[in-house]
Amino acid sequence: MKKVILIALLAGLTAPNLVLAQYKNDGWDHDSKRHHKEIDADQLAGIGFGAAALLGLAGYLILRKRTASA
Amino acid sequence: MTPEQQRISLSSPVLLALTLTFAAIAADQLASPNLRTTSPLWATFCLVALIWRRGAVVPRPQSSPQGQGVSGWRVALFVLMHLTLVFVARAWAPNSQPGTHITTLNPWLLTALKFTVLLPSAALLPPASWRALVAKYRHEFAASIVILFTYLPRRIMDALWPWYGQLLGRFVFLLSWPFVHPLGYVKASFPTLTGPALDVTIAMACSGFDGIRLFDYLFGFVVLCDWNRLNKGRTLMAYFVGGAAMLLGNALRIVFMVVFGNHGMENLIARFHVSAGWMFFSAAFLVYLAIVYRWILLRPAQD
Repeated sequence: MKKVILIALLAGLTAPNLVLAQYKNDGWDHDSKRHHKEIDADQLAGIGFGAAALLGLAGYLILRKRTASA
Repeated sequence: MTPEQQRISLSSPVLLALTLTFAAIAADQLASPNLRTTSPLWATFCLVALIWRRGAVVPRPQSSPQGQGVSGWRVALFVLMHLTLVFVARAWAPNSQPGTHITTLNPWLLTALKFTVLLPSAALLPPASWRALVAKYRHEFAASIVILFTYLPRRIMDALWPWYGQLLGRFVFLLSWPFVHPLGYVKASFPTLTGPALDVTIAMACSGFDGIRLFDYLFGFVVLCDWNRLNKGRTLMAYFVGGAAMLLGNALRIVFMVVFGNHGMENLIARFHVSAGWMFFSAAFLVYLAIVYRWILLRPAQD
């Protein structure tokens, strides 16, 4: 139950992103009915941010493990 | 089993009050985006998560005869206050969109409005219960207040840019000048460093504020994982020093771009500076954490 609530809270943290998404281009070319192929700057920055965050998390977990075993 | 060793109950008033607060703030954000309630949302989440990490049960205050839980009329009052807030915000700035600036409202007023979403929570528990909670979880409340005031203060950063942009540009120029000849400095709202092979314009995206954002998330994760092992005072100090270190690291990042970009690597710099920047911030965080990690942990004698 604790984990379910925690996941629900984490899902709730996406509320600001959901709101932002409503006001952004949906990536759909309505005239030609095709998706845009290019990735916009926000998406590119998001990918970079995600990769950097994963690297940081992995580094922290390794550091934590080394500290615990020292 | 002592109270400190017990797990927090899912039906405890503190958890119920904070979960209701979180749900209401998330609903406010969806119903009225102009409230800009992201930092109160994160502050509440971190308060819940840190109290959970601590895992202690709050002793019920003796002075409160009805301190056994959250009563129905209190929840009704809480919901009514939130609805009022949403309607007032929607009526006040009906056309504003998230991600844009509200120019019709004073920024300080906007900030105050943002924090008002936390006020209805006072109605959920009697004052004696809140006092007992704050006394019991003072570290957790202090951490959430830090998040409330430092979580991505975009408007403050925007306001600082005219001054900070020049400071950053001059600092980068000073550090790059011994390695690049000739190097010029064009003073503008987005200052440019002109070199023989590459001109570098320092835009808002180069301000280092994104590095602070990454640092906030990663440091927050560290705090959440190690909360019960942390020296809280040192952790707070490490947080603020770390933010400053990220800004300094960002200046060095731009110095590298100016120096290497003017020594035959201009195409590489132009193509990869954004993604390489994120990796740089991640590496800067790890170097910083490796330096302070043992220092911010409680020693066995302090435990």
